[in-house]
Amino acid sequence: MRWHCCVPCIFVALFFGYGCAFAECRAPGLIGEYFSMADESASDFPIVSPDKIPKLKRVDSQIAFDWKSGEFYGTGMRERFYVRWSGAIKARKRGVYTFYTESDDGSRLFIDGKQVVDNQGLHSMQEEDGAVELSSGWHRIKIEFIQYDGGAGCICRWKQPKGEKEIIPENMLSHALLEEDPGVKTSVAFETNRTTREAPPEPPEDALLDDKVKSVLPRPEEENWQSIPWKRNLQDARRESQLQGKPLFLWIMNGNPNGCT
Amino acid sequence: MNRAFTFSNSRIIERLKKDFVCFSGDTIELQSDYGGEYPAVGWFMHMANQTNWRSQGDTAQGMYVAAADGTAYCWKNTPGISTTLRFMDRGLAAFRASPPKPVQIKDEQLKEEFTRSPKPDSSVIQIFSRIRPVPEGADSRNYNIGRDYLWIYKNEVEEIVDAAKRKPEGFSLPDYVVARIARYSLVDSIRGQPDFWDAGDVRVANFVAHRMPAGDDNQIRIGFRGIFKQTTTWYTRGLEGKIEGEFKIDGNTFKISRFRAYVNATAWGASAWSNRGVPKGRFPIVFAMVEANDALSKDVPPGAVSRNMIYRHPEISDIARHAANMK
Repeated sequence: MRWHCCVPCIFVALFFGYGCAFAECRAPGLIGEYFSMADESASDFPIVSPDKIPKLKRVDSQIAFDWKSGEFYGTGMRERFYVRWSGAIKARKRGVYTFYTESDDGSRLFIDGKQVVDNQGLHSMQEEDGAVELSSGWHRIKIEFIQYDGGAGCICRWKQPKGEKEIIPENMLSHALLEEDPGVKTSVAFETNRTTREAPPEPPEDALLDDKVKSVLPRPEEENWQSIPWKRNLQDARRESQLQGKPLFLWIMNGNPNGCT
Repeated sequence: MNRAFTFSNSRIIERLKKDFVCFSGDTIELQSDYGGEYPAVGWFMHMANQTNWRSQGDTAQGMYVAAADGTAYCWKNTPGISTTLRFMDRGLAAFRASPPKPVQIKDEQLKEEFTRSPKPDSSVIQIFSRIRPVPEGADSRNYNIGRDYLWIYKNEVEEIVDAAKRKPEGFSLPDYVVARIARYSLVDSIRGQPDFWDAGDVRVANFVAHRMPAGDDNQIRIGFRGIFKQTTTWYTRGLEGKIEGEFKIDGNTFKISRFRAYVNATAWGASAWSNRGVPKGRFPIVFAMVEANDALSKDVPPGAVSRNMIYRHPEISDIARHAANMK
């Protein structure tokens, strides 16, 4: 009799135990928290205080937002905003996973509190990647994205061990595990490479010619790349490389990059 | 643009200065598939062909880490910041793991021609352009700055001096100078590689010059202003606006010692190779032109020269020429 009583209990326990694990899979996608940002702070990942309430909070099944201008996918937001997607990602087996973010403007991706992809800065759609070794099972994931101005887009892909590069499928993402992880620091100050995005102001119609010309010339931060001692004679660069025992770094473009960068 | 952004990153600048010897080059000068004609082409293609650059199209553009003996360690054509940092790490590690063999680089090789440089007696003008103001909602590429050079040949400067002496109150700038500016300098290169204007695309190019008091007998000072309009046949891409400027000519060398010009224009449409992120409709674009005397300007040719356009004697349409002659 006792066994007869216990068997249903075991079934119930197994059912609910399995059911809880299954519940994680049944909560696909990540929680997206969308914050409006002030002009001055929207050019870099912000420090978000815990009590700051997002303008919008929703579940995004995949992070697959192609570049577009105008409103960002039903958020009512166009410019100067920050998005934090959080939840968990499932690694089917142990191995090295490569993650990619392609975004306009900046983005970065953390796994278990460790930054894996650094795609910071204000830029057009640009992809960056990073690899991390994962054990099989669920891992905490956080993706951050900032949009300063112009069009916007953010796409997150991965490549599983021996797999193909693909947008992270929604059934590999779950927002069931959401307790705050102290290891994930939203306030880390990374070196930024921000540029002033506003063009210099238009001079008045009656401005002197010199002032009009100056208003178009590059600002100092737009000339930093010229501090690199680029050689223009390849043979000279080869000889210098041999003399100094350093490798050559060649930057080759259709059109000389030092003329039309 | 992104490339300038990447190579303006302080970490990348520091690493490049510390660990590498840096070289910048043009596929049109170095890639045999593009008709590269300099002796260094052989070395470059031997090096590049050890990588899989052909997997991304027919251009060998990108970043390479290599050694003097022609060993290629790695190649990549997506120059984001962290990608570039990792790329440098990978290249440096490979270089150290497999150091190159010593090679002899002869003095004659150092003297080999390696690019199309301006003639020493030519004047070089640098051109910058911006979209201003950037239309609301436009892609971030539109915040870039466009750059190029313009060459003005000595015989053209002599022609200007002669005209200024004969008709100081008003004369035409040389046809080829006007055509060169209209077809190759007044282009939208803000988001990347521009399409230059064909001769028939130039609908109006009316530049009128006059002599100004110079304050120095040995200097000839010229003021000029003009209007221009370029459009493709079906008006899918265009540019129109006004130019004003002045420059000084050294009466001994017939070189331009100072050049200032400002262009206020409206553009529309996209070039074939930089067609992402173009603002919708018409958008404002401004240009500044100043004399260039730095080392780069003596080595790096204008984009139109690099792309083998007819640079010295470019034509413009008869309509534009007629407009230019209506004084």
